Amino acid sequence: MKIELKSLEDKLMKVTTKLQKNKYINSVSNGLIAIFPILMVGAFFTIFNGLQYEPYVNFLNETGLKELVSLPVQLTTGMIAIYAVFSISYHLANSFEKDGFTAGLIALVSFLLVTPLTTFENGTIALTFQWTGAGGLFVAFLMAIVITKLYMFLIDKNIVIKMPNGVPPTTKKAFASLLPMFCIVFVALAIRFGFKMTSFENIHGFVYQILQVPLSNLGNTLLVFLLLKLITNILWMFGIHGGLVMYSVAVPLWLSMDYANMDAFNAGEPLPFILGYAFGMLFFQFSGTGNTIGLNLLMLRAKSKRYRTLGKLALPASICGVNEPLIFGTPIVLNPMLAIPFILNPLISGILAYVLTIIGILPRLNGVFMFGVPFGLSGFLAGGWIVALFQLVILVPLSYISYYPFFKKMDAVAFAQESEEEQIEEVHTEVIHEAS
Amino acid sequence: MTYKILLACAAGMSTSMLVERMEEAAKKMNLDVIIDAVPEGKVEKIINDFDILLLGPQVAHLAAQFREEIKDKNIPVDTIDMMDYGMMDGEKVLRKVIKLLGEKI
Repeated sequence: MKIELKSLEDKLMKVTTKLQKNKYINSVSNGLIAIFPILMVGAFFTIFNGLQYEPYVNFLNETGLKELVSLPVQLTTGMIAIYAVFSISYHLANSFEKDGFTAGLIALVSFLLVTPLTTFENGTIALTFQWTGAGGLFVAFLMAIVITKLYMFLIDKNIVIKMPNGVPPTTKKAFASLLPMFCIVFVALAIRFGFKMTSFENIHGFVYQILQVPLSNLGNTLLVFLLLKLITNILWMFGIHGGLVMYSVAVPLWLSMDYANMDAFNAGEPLPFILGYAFGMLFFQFSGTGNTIGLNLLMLRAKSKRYRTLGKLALPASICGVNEPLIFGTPIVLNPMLAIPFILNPLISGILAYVLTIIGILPRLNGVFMFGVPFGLSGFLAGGWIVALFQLVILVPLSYISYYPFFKKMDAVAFAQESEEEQIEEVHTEVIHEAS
Repeated sequence: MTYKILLACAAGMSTSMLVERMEEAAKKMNLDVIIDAVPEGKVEKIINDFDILLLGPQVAHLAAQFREEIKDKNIPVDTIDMMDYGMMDGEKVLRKVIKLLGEKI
Protein backbone atom coordinates (compact mmCIF):
# COMPACT_ATOMS: atom_id res chain seq x y z
CA MET A 1 0.00 0.00 0.00
CA LYS A 2 2.72 2.39 0.96
CA ILE A 3 4.65 1.79 -2.26
CA GLU A 4 1.54 2.22 -4.39
CA LEU A 5 0.82 5.53 -2.70
CA LYS A 6 4.35 6.67 -3.45
CA SER A 7 4.11 5.88 -7.15
CA LEU A 8 0.70 7.57 -7.32
CA GLU A 9 2.24 10.60 -5.71
CA ASP A 10 5.06 10.61 -8.26
CA LYS A 11 2.61 10.39 -11.12
CA LEU A 12 0.52 13.22 -9.71
CA MET A 13 3.63 15.33 -9.35
CA LYS A 14 4.64 14.77 -12.95
CA VAL A 15 1.25 15.84 -14.28
CA THR A 16 1.02 18.84 -12.00
CA THR A 17 4.52 20.01 -12.82
CA LYS A 18 3.72 19.85 -16.51
CA LEU A 19 0.57 21.86 -16.10
CA GLN A 20 2.15 24.37 -13.82
CA LYS A 21 5.30 24.83 -15.83
CA ASN A 22 3.44 25.34 -19.09
CA LYS A 23 4.86 28.64 -20.29
CA TYR A 24 1.61 29.98 -21.72
CA ILE A 25 -0.57 29.19 -18.72
CA ASN A 26 2.20 30.42 -16.49
CA SER A 27 2.65 33.71 -18.29
CA VAL A 28 -1.07 34.46 -17.97
CA SER A 29 -1.11 33.81 -14.24
CA ASN A 30 2.27 35.45 -13.61
CA GLY A 31 1.26 38.41 -15.75
CA LEU A 32 -1.88 38.82 -13.68
CA ILE A 33 -0.02 38.43 -10.40
CA ALA A 34 2.43 41.15 -11.48
CA ILE A 35 -0.39 43.69 -11.87
CA PHE A 36 -1.95 42.79 -8.54
CA PRO A 37 -0.69 45.99 -6.88
CA ILE A 38 -2.74 48.01 -9.39
CA LEU A 39 -5.76 45.86 -8.62
CA MET A 40 -5.25 46.23 -4.88
CA VAL A 41 -5.50 50.00 -5.32
CA GLY A 42 -8.69 49.43 -7.28
CA ALA A 43 -10.09 47.11 -4.63
CA PHE A 44 -9.22 49.55 -1.88
CA PHE A 45 -11.02 52.44 -3.54
CA THR A 46 -13.93 50.17 -4.45
CA ILE A 47 -14.52 49.76 -0.74
CA PHE A 48 -14.14 53.51 -0.13
CA ASN A 49 -16.48 54.21 -2.97
CA GLY A 50 -19.07 51.66 -2.02
CA LEU A 51 -19.50 52.10 1.75
CA GLN A 52 -23.23 52.58 2.28
CA TYR A 53 -23.15 54.72 5.40
CA GLU A 54 -25.45 57.64 4.83
CA PRO A 55 -23.50 60.50 6.43
CA TYR A 56 -20.42 59.25 4.61
CA VAL A 57 -22.21 59.08 1.25
CA ASN A 58 -23.62 62.57 1.79
CA PHE A 59 -20.21 63.87 2.74
CA LEU A 60 -18.68 62.46 -0.46
CA ASN A 61 -21.40 63.93 -2.63
CA GLU A 62 -21.42 67.35 -0.97
CA THR A 63 -17.68 67.86 -1.03
CA GLY A 64 -17.37 66.61 -4.57
CA LEU A 65 -14.96 63.92 -3.35
CA LYS A 66 -17.16 61.22 -4.90
CA GLU A 67 -15.63 61.75 -8.33
CA LEU A 68 -12.14 61.71 -6.89
CA VAL A 69 -12.72 58.47 -5.00
CA SER A 70 -14.20 56.65 -7.98
CA LEU A 71 -11.45 57.75 -10.35
CA PRO A 72 -8.78 55.27 -9.14
CA VAL A 73 -11.30 52.42 -9.57
CA GLN A 74 -12.15 53.44 -13.11
CA LEU A 75 -8.51 53.72 -14.09
CA THR A 76 -7.36 50.48 -12.42
CA THR A 77 -9.99 47.74 -12.66
CA GLY A 78 -11.70 49.66 -15.44
CA MET A 79 -8.54 49.36 -17.55
CA ILE A 80 -7.37 45.98 -16.38
CA ALA A 81 -7.18 44.56 -19.91
CA ILE A 82 -4.64 47.21 -20.94
CA TYR A 83 -2.34 46.42 -18.04
CA ALA A 84 -2.85 42.68 -18.47
CA VAL A 85 -1.95 42.55 -22.16
CA PHE A 86 1.38 44.26 -21.54
CA SER A 87 2.21 42.28 -18.43
CA ILE A 88 1.33 38.87 -19.87
CA SER A 89 3.21 39.51 -23.07
CA TYR A 90 6.20 40.74 -21.09
CA HIS A 91 6.27 37.59 -18.97
CA LEU A 92 5.75 35.27 -21.91
CA ALA A 93 8.58 36.79 -23.97
CA ASN A 94 10.86 36.80 -20.94
CA SER A 95 10.19 33.13 -20.28
CA PHE A 96 11.49 32.44 -23.79
CA GLU A 97 14.45 34.74 -23.11
CA LYS A 98 13.27 37.39 -25.54
CA ASP A 99 12.99 41.12 -24.97
CA GLY A 100 9.86 41.32 -22.83
CA PHE A 101 9.52 45.08 -22.88
CA THR A 102 9.38 45.30 -26.68
CA ALA A 103 7.00 42.35 -26.87
CA GLY A 104 4.77 44.00 -24.28
CA LEU A 105 4.68 47.25 -26.22
CA ILE A 106 3.83 45.51 -29.47
CA ALA A 107 1.08 43.50 -27.81
CA LEU A 108 -0.35 46.65 -26.25
CA VAL A 109 -0.37 48.48 -29.59
CA SER A 110 -2.03 45.47 -31.24
CA PHE A 111 -4.64 45.27 -28.49
CA LEU A 112 -5.51 48.93 -29.03
CA LEU A 113 -5.60 48.40 -32.79
CA VAL A 114 -8.31 45.77 -32.50
CA THR A 115 -10.30 47.73 -29.92
CA PRO A 116 -13.10 49.90 -31.36
CA LEU A 117 -13.03 53.69 -31.04
CA THR A 118 -16.14 55.76 -30.55
CA THR A 119 -16.77 58.93 -32.52
CA PHE A 120 -19.10 61.40 -30.86
CA GLU A 121 -21.41 63.83 -32.67
CA ASN A 122 -19.11 66.76 -32.14
CA GLY A 123 -16.32 64.87 -33.85
CA THR A 124 -14.39 63.85 -30.73
CA ILE A 125 -12.85 60.42 -31.04
CA ALA A 126 -12.53 58.43 -27.83
CA LEU A 127 -11.44 55.08 -26.52
CA THR A 128 -14.22 54.16 -24.13
CA PHE A 129 -13.96 51.91 -21.11
CA GLN A 130 -16.29 49.36 -22.70
CA TRP A 131 -13.57 46.86 -23.59
CA THR A 132 -10.66 48.00 -21.44
CA GLY A 133 -12.03 46.45 -18.23
CA ALA A 134 -13.11 42.93 -17.32
CA GLY A 135 -14.99 42.62 -20.62
CA GLY A 136 -11.79 42.92 -22.63
CA LEU A 137 -9.74 40.62 -20.46
CA PHE A 138 -10.03 37.54 -22.67
CA VAL A 139 -9.00 39.44 -25.77
CA ALA A 140 -6.07 40.69 -23.70
CA PHE A 141 -5.07 37.08 -22.87
CA LEU A 142 -5.43 36.02 -26.51
CA MET A 143 -3.66 39.01 -28.03
CA ALA A 144 -0.83 38.82 -25.51
CA ILE A 145 -0.17 35.18 -26.38
CA VAL A 146 -0.74 35.30 -30.15
CA ILE A 147 1.10 38.55 -30.79
CA THR A 148 4.03 37.62 -28.56
CA LYS A 149 4.26 34.25 -30.25
CA LEU A 150 4.28 35.98 -33.64
CA TYR A 151 6.88 38.49 -32.48
CA MET A 152 9.16 35.72 -31.24
CA PHE A 153 8.63 33.80 -34.48
CA LEU A 154 9.70 36.82 -36.56
CA ILE A 155 12.75 37.39 -34.38
CA ASP A 156 13.72 33.71 -34.59
CA LYS A 157 13.33 33.73 -38.37
CA ASN A 158 15.59 36.77 -38.36
CA ILE A 159 13.08 38.98 -40.09
CA VAL A 160 14.70 42.11 -38.72
CA ILE A 161 16.48 45.10 -40.13
CA LYS A 162 20.19 44.52 -39.68
CA MET A 163 22.38 47.49 -38.96
CA PRO A 164 26.05 47.60 -39.90
CA ASN A 165 28.59 47.20 -37.12
CA GLY A 166 29.49 50.40 -35.35
CA VAL A 167 25.89 51.50 -34.91
CA PRO A 168 25.16 51.99 -31.18
CA PRO A 169 23.40 48.96 -29.63
CA THR A 170 20.39 51.03 -28.52
CA THR A 171 19.77 52.17 -32.06
CA LYS A 172 20.29 48.62 -33.30
CA LYS A 173 17.70 47.34 -30.87
CA ALA A 174 15.15 49.97 -31.84
CA PHE A 175 15.55 49.13 -35.51
CA ALA A 176 15.57 45.42 -34.89
CA SER A 177 12.05 45.57 -33.52
CA LEU A 178 10.85 47.84 -36.32
CA LEU A 179 10.18 45.23 -38.97
CA PRO A 180 8.38 42.76 -36.65
CA MET A 181 6.39 45.72 -35.31
CA PHE A 182 5.20 46.64 -38.81
CA CYS A 183 4.32 43.05 -39.65
CA ILE A 184 2.32 42.73 -36.47
CA VAL A 185 0.53 46.02 -36.96
CA PHE A 186 -0.65 44.72 -40.34
CA VAL A 187 -1.83 41.51 -38.72
CA ALA A 188 -3.72 43.49 -36.07
CA LEU A 189 -5.30 45.69 -38.74
CA ALA A 190 -6.30 42.58 -40.67
CA ILE A 191 -7.95 41.19 -37.53
CA ARG A 192 -9.79 44.45 -37.05
CA PHE A 193 -10.90 44.53 -40.68
CA GLY A 194 -11.93 40.86 -40.64
CA PHE A 195 -14.18 41.26 -37.62
CA LYS A 196 -15.64 44.49 -39.01
CA MET A 197 -17.11 42.30 -41.76
CA THR A 198 -19.00 40.16 -39.25
CA SER A 199 -22.06 40.93 -37.19
CA PHE A 200 -19.86 41.20 -34.10
CA GLU A 201 -18.18 44.33 -35.55
CA ASN A 202 -15.00 43.74 -33.57
CA ILE A 203 -12.98 40.98 -31.96
CA HIS A 204 -14.12 42.02 -28.49
CA GLY A 205 -17.77 41.39 -29.24
CA PHE A 206 -16.87 38.05 -30.76
CA VAL A 207 -14.61 36.78 -27.97
CA TYR A 208 -16.95 38.09 -25.32
CA GLN A 209 -19.96 36.26 -26.71
CA ILE A 210 -18.28 33.11 -28.00
CA LEU A 211 -15.68 32.60 -25.27
CA GLN A 212 -15.94 34.79 -22.22
CA VAL A 213 -19.67 34.49 -21.53
CA PRO A 214 -19.87 30.69 -21.95
CA LEU A 215 -16.66 30.19 -19.98
CA SER A 216 -17.83 32.52 -17.23
CA ASN A 217 -21.14 30.66 -17.14
CA LEU A 218 -19.18 27.47 -16.81
CA GLY A 219 -17.01 29.05 -14.12
CA ASN A 220 -20.18 30.28 -12.44
CA THR A 221 -21.56 26.74 -12.33
CA LEU A 222 -21.45 25.33 -8.83
CA LEU A 223 -20.66 21.82 -10.03
CA VAL A 224 -17.55 22.87 -11.97
CA PHE A 225 -16.46 25.02 -9.07
CA LEU A 226 -16.91 22.17 -6.61
CA LEU A 227 -15.00 19.80 -8.86
CA LEU A 228 -11.99 22.15 -9.09
CA LYS A 229 -11.99 22.69 -5.33
CA LEU A 230 -12.29 18.95 -4.75
CA ILE A 231 -9.28 18.19 -6.95
CA THR A 232 -7.32 20.97 -5.26
CA ASN A 233 -7.98 19.55 -1.82
CA ILE A 234 -7.13 16.02 -2.91
CA LEU A 235 -3.83 17.26 -4.36
CA TRP A 236 -3.08 18.93 -1.04
CA MET A 237 -3.66 15.60 0.69
CA PHE A 238 -0.64 14.42 -1.27
CA GLY A 239 1.35 17.45 -0.19
CA ILE A 240 1.11 19.17 -3.55
CA HIS A 241 0.12 22.81 -3.56
CA GLY A 242 -3.17 22.10 -5.28
CA GLY A 243 -4.21 25.70 -5.70
CA LEU A 244 -1.05 26.59 -7.53
CA VAL A 245 -1.72 23.83 -10.02
CA MET A 246 -5.46 23.90 -10.58
CA TYR A 247 -5.91 27.61 -10.29
CA SER A 248 -3.26 28.58 -12.81
CA VAL A 249 -5.94 27.64 -15.31
CA ALA A 250 -9.03 28.77 -13.43
CA VAL A 251 -7.82 31.95 -11.76
CA PRO A 252 -7.80 34.15 -14.88
CA LEU A 253 -11.41 33.13 -15.44
CA TRP A 254 -12.45 33.62 -11.83
CA LEU A 255 -10.68 36.96 -11.62
CA SER A 256 -12.44 38.21 -14.74
CA MET A 257 -15.71 37.35 -12.97
CA ASP A 258 -14.61 39.20 -9.84
CA TYR A 259 -13.66 42.27 -11.84
CA ALA A 260 -17.00 42.22 -13.62
CA ASN A 261 -18.66 42.25 -10.20
CA MET A 262 -16.37 45.03 -9.06
CA ASP A 263 -17.24 47.15 -12.11
CA ALA A 264 -20.95 46.59 -11.55
CA PHE A 265 -20.58 47.35 -7.84
CA ASN A 266 -18.94 50.66 -8.63
CA ALA A 267 -21.56 51.55 -11.17
CA GLY A 268 -24.29 50.66 -8.68
CA GLU A 269 -25.62 47.94 -10.98
CA PRO A 270 -26.69 44.41 -9.99
CA LEU A 271 -23.70 42.09 -9.61
CA PRO A 272 -23.54 39.51 -12.43
CA PHE A 273 -21.79 36.60 -10.69
CA ILE A 274 -22.19 34.58 -7.52
CA LEU A 275 -19.00 32.57 -7.78
CA GLY A 276 -15.48 33.76 -8.53
CA TYR A 277 -12.04 33.90 -7.00
CA ALA A 278 -13.21 35.86 -3.96
CA PHE A 279 -16.09 33.45 -3.32
CA GLY A 280 -13.67 30.53 -3.29
CA MET A 281 -11.23 32.24 -0.98
CA LEU A 282 -13.86 33.55 1.45
CA PHE A 283 -15.93 30.39 1.88
CA PHE A 284 -14.05 27.36 0.55
CA GLN A 285 -10.78 28.26 2.25
CA PHE A 286 -11.27 31.26 4.50
CA SER A 287 -8.71 29.88 6.96
CA GLY A 288 -6.50 28.14 4.41
CA THR A 289 -7.18 25.07 2.27
CA GLY A 290 -9.42 22.65 4.11
CA ASN A 291 -10.80 25.40 6.38
CA THR A 292 -8.59 24.15 9.17
CA ILE A 293 -9.39 26.82 11.74
CA GLY A 294 -11.47 24.28 13.70
CA LEU A 295 -8.55 21.89 13.79
CA ASN A 296 -6.34 24.70 14.99
CA LEU A 297 -8.72 25.67 17.80
CA LEU A 298 -9.00 22.02 18.84
CA MET A 299 -5.24 21.83 19.06
CA LEU A 300 -5.06 24.71 21.51
CA ARG A 301 -6.86 22.50 24.04
CA ALA A 302 -5.30 19.19 23.03
CA LYS A 303 -4.01 16.69 25.57
CA SER A 304 -0.91 16.05 23.50
CA LYS A 305 1.86 18.55 24.04
CA ARG A 306 2.99 18.37 20.43
CA TYR A 307 -0.41 19.45 19.11
CA ARG A 308 -0.72 22.21 21.69
CA THR A 309 2.63 23.65 20.59
CA LEU A 310 1.68 23.40 16.93
CA GLY A 311 -1.72 24.96 17.60
CA LYS A 312 -0.20 28.01 19.25
CA LEU A 313 2.42 28.32 16.53
CA ALA A 314 -0.06 28.06 13.67
CA LEU A 315 -2.92 30.21 14.99
CA PRO A 316 -1.90 33.71 13.79
CA ALA A 317 -1.21 32.45 10.27
CA SER A 318 -4.44 30.43 10.28
CA ILE A 319 -6.44 33.54 11.04
CA CYS A 320 -4.87 35.18 8.01
CA GLY A 321 -5.75 32.22 5.81
CA VAL A 322 -2.28 30.64 5.70
CA ASN A 323 -2.23 27.10 7.04
CA GLU A 324 0.89 25.37 5.78
CA PRO A 325 2.15 24.85 9.35
CA LEU A 326 -0.97 22.77 10.06
CA ILE A 327 -0.89 20.93 6.75
CA PHE A 328 2.70 19.82 7.20
CA GLY A 329 3.09 19.95 10.97
CA THR A 330 0.06 17.89 11.98
CA PRO A 331 0.54 16.45 9.32
CA ILE A 332 -2.61 16.49 7.20
CA VAL A 333 -0.63 15.32 4.19
CA LEU A 334 -1.06 11.56 3.60
CA ASN A 335 -3.05 11.35 6.83
CA PRO A 336 -6.19 9.30 6.20
CA MET A 337 -7.66 10.34 9.56
CA LEU A 338 -8.08 13.93 8.47
CA ALA A 339 -8.87 13.35 4.81
CA ILE A 340 -12.64 13.37 5.36
CA PRO A 341 -12.97 16.76 7.08
CA PHE A 342 -10.17 18.30 5.02
CA ILE A 343 -11.85 17.44 1.73
CA LEU A 344 -15.50 17.67 2.72
CA ASN A 345 -15.69 20.68 5.04
CA PRO A 346 -14.75 23.21 2.35
CA LEU A 347 -17.32 21.74 -0.02
CA ILE A 348 -20.06 21.86 2.62
CA SER A 349 -19.12 25.43 3.62
CA GLY A 350 -19.09 26.52 -0.01
CA ILE A 351 -22.41 24.89 -0.89
CA LEU A 352 -23.98 26.45 2.19
CA ALA A 353 -22.71 29.90 1.17
CA TYR A 354 -23.96 29.34 -2.38
CA VAL A 355 -27.44 28.35 -1.26
CA LEU A 356 -27.65 31.28 1.16
CA THR A 357 -26.64 33.62 -1.67
CA ILE A 358 -29.25 32.16 -4.01
CA ILE A 359 -32.05 32.63 -1.49
CA GLY A 360 -30.83 36.14 -0.77
CA ILE A 361 -29.59 35.86 2.81
CA LEU A 362 -25.99 36.50 1.79
CA PRO A 363 -25.28 39.25 -0.75
CA ARG A 364 -23.29 38.61 -3.92
CA LEU A 365 -19.64 39.52 -3.38
CA ASN A 366 -18.22 42.74 -4.79
CA GLY A 367 -15.11 40.88 -5.96
CA VAL A 368 -12.70 42.39 -3.44
CA PHE A 369 -10.27 39.90 -1.99
CA MET A 370 -6.85 40.59 -0.55
CA PHE A 371 -4.60 37.71 0.37
CA GLY A 372 -3.55 37.66 4.01
CA VAL A 373 -6.47 39.64 5.41
CA PRO A 374 -7.91 37.88 8.49
CA PHE A 375 -11.23 36.13 7.98
CA GLY A 376 -14.15 38.13 9.26
CA LEU A 377 -12.51 41.27 7.94
CA SER A 378 -12.11 39.66 4.52
CA GLY A 379 -15.82 38.83 4.52
CA PHE A 380 -16.72 42.34 5.62
CA LEU A 381 -14.74 43.92 2.80
CA ALA A 382 -16.32 41.72 0.14
CA GLY A 383 -19.91 41.70 1.28
CA GLY A 384 -20.47 43.66 4.49
CA TRP A 385 -21.11 42.58 8.05
CA ILE A 386 -23.47 39.73 7.16
CA VAL A 387 -20.71 37.88 5.29
CA ALA A 388 -18.34 38.54 8.18
CA LEU A 389 -20.91 37.12 10.61
CA PHE A 390 -21.46 34.09 8.38
CA GLN A 391 -17.73 33.36 8.44
CA LEU A 392 -17.35 33.83 12.18
CA VAL A 393 -20.59 32.43 13.57
CA ILE A 394 -21.41 29.66 11.08
CA LEU A 395 -18.24 28.57 9.26
CA VAL A 396 -15.82 28.56 12.21
CA PRO A 397 -18.05 26.35 14.40
CA LEU A 398 -18.79 24.17 11.37
CA SER A 399 -15.07 23.63 10.90
CA TYR A 400 -14.68 22.85 14.62
CA ILE A 401 -17.43 20.23 14.49
CA SER A 402 -16.09 18.70 11.26
CA TYR A 403 -12.64 18.11 12.70
CA TYR A 404 -13.73 17.28 16.26
CA PRO A 405 -14.23 13.48 16.15
CA PHE A 406 -11.19 12.86 13.97
CA PHE A 407 -8.88 15.05 15.94
CA LYS A 408 -9.99 13.62 19.29
CA LYS A 409 -8.83 10.18 18.15
CA MET A 410 -5.52 11.50 16.86
CA ASP A 411 -4.97 13.44 20.05
CA ALA A 412 -5.62 10.40 22.22
CA VAL A 413 -3.10 8.36 20.24
CA ALA A 414 -0.48 11.11 20.37
CA PHE A 415 -1.07 11.65 24.08
CA ALA A 416 -0.66 7.94 24.82
CA GLN A 417 2.54 7.93 22.79
CA GLU A 418 3.91 10.94 24.59
CA SER A 419 3.20 9.56 28.08
CA GLU A 420 4.77 6.25 27.10
CA GLU A 421 7.89 8.04 25.93
CA GLU A 422 7.97 10.01 29.16
CA GLN A 423 7.70 6.83 31.20
CA ILE A 424 10.53 5.19 29.33
CA GLU A 425 12.60 8.28 29.89
CA GLU A 426 11.80 8.22 33.62
CA VAL A 427 12.73 4.57 33.93
CA HIS A 428 15.85 5.30 31.96
CA THR A 429 16.87 8.09 34.33
CA GLU A 430 16.17 5.89 37.34
CA VAL A 431 18.35 3.11 35.93
CA ILE A 432 21.18 5.53 35.36
CA HIS A 433 20.62 6.90 38.84
CA GLU A 434 20.81 3.48 40.44
CA ALA A 435 23.83 2.49 38.39
CA SER A 436 25.76 5.50 39.55
CA MET B 1 31.48 32.80 5.82
CA THR B 2 27.96 33.91 5.09
CA TYR B 3 25.32 31.41 4.14
CA LYS B 4 23.03 32.74 1.45
CA ILE B 5 19.84 30.71 1.46
CA LEU B 6 16.86 31.07 -0.84
CA LEU B 7 13.49 29.60 0.16
CA ALA B 8 10.66 29.15 -2.29
CA CYS B 9 7.01 28.25 -1.93
CA ALA B 10 3.78 29.09 -3.71
CA ALA B 11 3.31 32.70 -2.70
CA GLY B 12 6.32 33.22 -0.44
CA MET B 13 3.93 33.66 2.49
CA SER B 14 4.46 30.65 4.71
CA THR B 15 8.15 30.32 3.90
CA SER B 16 8.67 33.89 5.05
CA MET B 17 7.48 32.72 8.46
CA LEU B 18 10.16 30.06 8.43
CA VAL B 19 12.74 32.67 7.39
CA GLU B 20 12.11 34.53 10.64
CA ARG B 21 12.64 31.35 12.64
CA MET B 22 15.82 30.53 10.76
CA GLU B 23 17.21 34.00 11.34
CA GLU B 24 16.53 33.67 15.07
CA ALA B 25 18.25 30.29 15.11
CA ALA B 26 21.22 31.68 13.19
CA LYS B 27 21.64 34.41 15.76
CA LYS B 28 21.71 31.82 18.53
CA MET B 29 24.21 29.71 16.61
CA ASN B 30 26.36 32.75 15.85
CA LEU B 31 26.04 32.24 12.11
CA ASP B 32 26.14 34.83 9.40
CA VAL B 33 23.15 34.31 7.11
CA ILE B 34 21.24 36.00 4.34
CA ILE B 35 17.86 34.31 3.90
CA ASP B 36 15.10 35.27 1.51
CA ALA B 37 11.72 33.76 0.65
CA VAL B 38 10.12 34.14 -2.77
CA PRO B 39 7.27 32.68 -4.83
CA GLU B 40 8.56 29.78 -6.93
CA GLY B 41 8.14 31.78 -10.16
CA LYS B 42 10.79 34.26 -9.08
CA VAL B 43 13.52 31.78 -8.22
CA GLU B 44 15.21 31.77 -11.61
CA LYS B 45 15.73 35.50 -11.59
CA ILE B 46 17.62 35.78 -8.32
CA ILE B 47 19.07 32.33 -7.68
CA ASN B 48 22.52 33.53 -8.75
CA ASP B 49 22.84 35.54 -5.55
CA PHE B 50 22.40 32.47 -3.34
CA ASP B 51 24.33 29.35 -2.29
CA ILE B 52 21.39 26.99 -1.89
CA LEU B 53 17.75 26.66 -2.85
CA LEU B 54 15.25 25.18 -0.39
CA LEU B 55 11.73 24.34 -1.54
CA GLY B 56 8.71 24.30 0.72
CA PRO B 57 7.15 20.82 0.80
CA GLN B 58 4.06 22.07 -1.05
CA VAL B 59 6.16 22.76 -4.15
CA ALA B 60 8.43 19.73 -3.75
CA HIS B 61 7.19 18.52 -7.13
CA LEU B 62 9.21 21.33 -8.73
CA ALA B 63 12.54 20.13 -7.33
CA ALA B 64 13.53 18.11 -10.39
CA GLN B 65 12.65 21.00 -12.64
CA PHE B 66 14.78 23.44 -10.67
CA ARG B 67 17.70 21.03 -10.49
CA GLU B 68 17.59 20.80 -14.27
CA GLU B 69 17.39 24.56 -14.69
CA ILE B 70 20.35 25.43 -12.49
CA LYS B 71 22.47 22.35 -12.95
CA ASP B 72 25.52 24.28 -14.23
CA LYS B 73 25.54 26.61 -11.25
CA ASN B 74 26.60 24.24 -8.49
CA ILE B 75 23.72 25.37 -6.30
CA PRO B 76 22.17 22.49 -4.36
CA VAL B 77 18.38 22.18 -4.42
CA ASP B 78 16.65 20.58 -1.47
CA THR B 79 13.14 20.13 -0.14
CA ILE B 80 12.41 21.18 3.41
CA ASP B 81 11.26 18.29 5.59
CA MET B 82 7.51 18.34 6.06
CA MET B 83 7.62 18.18 9.86
CA ASP B 84 10.36 20.78 10.20
CA TYR B 85 8.34 23.03 7.93
CA GLY B 86 5.10 22.51 9.81
CA MET B 87 6.68 23.07 13.21
CA MET B 88 8.65 26.00 11.76
CA ASP B 89 11.84 24.50 13.19
CA GLY B 90 14.37 27.07 11.96
CA GLU B 91 17.34 25.46 13.68
CA LYS B 92 16.84 22.03 12.12
CA VAL B 93 16.45 23.48 8.65
CA LEU B 94 19.55 25.59 9.15
CA ARG B 95 21.62 22.62 10.33
CA LYS B 96 20.63 20.71 7.23
CA VAL B 97 21.73 23.61 5.05
CA ILE B 98 25.11 23.67 6.72
CA LYS B 99 25.45 19.93 6.21
CA LEU B 100 24.51 20.23 2.56
CA LEU B 101 26.96 23.03 1.99
CA GLY B 102 29.66 20.86 3.49
CA GLU B 103 30.57 23.10 6.38
CA LYS B 104 30.69 22.16 10.02
CA ILE B 105 29.86 24.44 12.87
